[in-house]
Amino acid sequence: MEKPENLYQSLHSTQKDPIKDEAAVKSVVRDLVYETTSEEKVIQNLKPVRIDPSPESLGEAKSLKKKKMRKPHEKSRRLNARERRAFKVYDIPAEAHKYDIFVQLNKLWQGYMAEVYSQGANPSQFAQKLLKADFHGAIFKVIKSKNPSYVGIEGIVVQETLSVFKIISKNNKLQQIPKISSVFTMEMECCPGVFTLYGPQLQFRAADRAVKKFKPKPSIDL
Amino acid sequence: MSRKTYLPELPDLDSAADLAYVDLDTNTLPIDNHPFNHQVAIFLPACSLERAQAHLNQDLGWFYQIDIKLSTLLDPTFMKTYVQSGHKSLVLHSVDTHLDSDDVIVLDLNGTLVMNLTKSTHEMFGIQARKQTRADMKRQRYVVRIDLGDPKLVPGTKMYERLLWCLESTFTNPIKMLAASVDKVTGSALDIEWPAGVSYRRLENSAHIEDISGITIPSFDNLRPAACTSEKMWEQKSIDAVEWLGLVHLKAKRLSSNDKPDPFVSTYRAPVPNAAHQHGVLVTWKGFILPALISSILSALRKLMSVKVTENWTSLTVWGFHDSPFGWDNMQHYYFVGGENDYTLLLLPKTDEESSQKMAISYKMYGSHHVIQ
Repeated sequence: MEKPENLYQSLHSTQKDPIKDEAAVKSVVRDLVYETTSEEKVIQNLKPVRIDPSPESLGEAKSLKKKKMRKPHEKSRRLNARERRAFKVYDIPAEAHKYDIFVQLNKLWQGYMAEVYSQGANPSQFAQKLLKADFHGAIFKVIKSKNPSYVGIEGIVVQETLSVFKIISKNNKLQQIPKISSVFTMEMECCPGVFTLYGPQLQFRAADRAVKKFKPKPSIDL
Repeated sequence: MSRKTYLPELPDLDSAADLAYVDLDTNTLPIDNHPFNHQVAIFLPACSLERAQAHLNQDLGWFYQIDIKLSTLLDPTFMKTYVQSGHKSLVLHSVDTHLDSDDVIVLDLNGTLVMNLTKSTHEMFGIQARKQTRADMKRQRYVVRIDLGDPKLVPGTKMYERLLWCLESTFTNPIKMLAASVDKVTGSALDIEWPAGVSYRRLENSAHIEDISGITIPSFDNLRPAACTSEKMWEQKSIDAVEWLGLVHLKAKRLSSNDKPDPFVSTYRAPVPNAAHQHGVLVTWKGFILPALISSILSALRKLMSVKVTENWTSLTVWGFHDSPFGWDNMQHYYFVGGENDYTLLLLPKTDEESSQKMAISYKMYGSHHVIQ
């Protein structure tokens, strides 16, 4: 009779460093996996299971977990406001803080307003158009403000952001006036009369105001 | 009818007052730091009309009713002559402006322009207001104080130009005000030369002498704290005395010796000890009266008492404006339901221990809403 096949294979290693003896492990894995799979790749992806709860082994397990939970979108992250300000993209350089430079912009704006006015001189229609108009280059004056030092500032609007108007006054001072606390007036050459703009109602970027339909707040109180 | 009969559940509305026993020579009296007064009255018990007329013919001067644009106050010559002057004091008070709804503007004895503004006026004005107290926050009012006597307030400086711009742009219409000026040294009223564009009317602080007869006058003998057993008792007696004085100024029927009202109407009794069927003289001055003039009345009164024209006590009562933004010193004053801003000095006759008449009871009425700072 033939000797029965030995079903059990001994994994005892005869080498000096049994841990680094991969041959035995490879042969076991070879038997278990599909033919076309490479046993080295399988062994690489295997998670080590530590039997002894020693601190070093636990620490390694934790660090492995942490690495998995971190978001992988490092490259496509958006800049936050602080970083955007640090780039100083939207800042006007100090050499350009001159009222005379922006007088031309005001002239352009007056021309633009004259065009808008010519399209329909009906006051209510014109007022609706004004809400969507661009104010870059308009001459604004602050008539009311929660902060008394802003009252009386008059000048050309250089930039309009979500919450602020940047106005340059005749004494070449560029100031940021928050919209939320102020009421402005505006005059134009084509149309007689003074237009009052309530800052808290206009808390939108210039582009948004032109496109979106916005709801006015319940009170014009500052 | 008292509020308690028809609204029993509501808590009592307290009006605050300050009661003190003062020495007229040494203590600070409520006269000097109470600049805005519209009425002064003296009561002399058991004094004849002729005697009073002879000794008390004080001329209390005059005042002006003006319509002025506030920016005119900053006119350089006017500022130098009246506002920033060392020997003249100018006082202004806006008229017909209610402290709870309008902007009240006053110029006090120290040359400080005090403006108690509404929220919308303050937002338009452009000068930082003082930090709001709780009372200010509740009423949404802002107090702007500007020292017009500041040496930096010269035409051409930033401060001056800014102030001028703010006054011109916010207060575009003329404001109705009362104005008076006194000499700081002599205490006599002065004429004011108004700059162009100010419409003014000069009025006299008129005196009105009246004899009230057939009344029961108390003698107030035991009104000194030493004569009373406890402080509470003295307080009660003093308040009763001041109440009686109030009735005199009203010329009430309850004072009459023959008055026998129905107990349902009144159970008022004059303070004891009192003497019936007496007469007294009530002298009233109405106008815009400055503290210097009131001090002169007080000294005349004390002279009267020392010369024994009248043997008993006398009283001096002064009424301030209900709408003044502050009362004594910097104590802020508001109206709400009771804007009293008055005081009474009850001058007690001299005792044998005192060399001259000097003790008095001072009763300052602060009104229902005041803020002590």
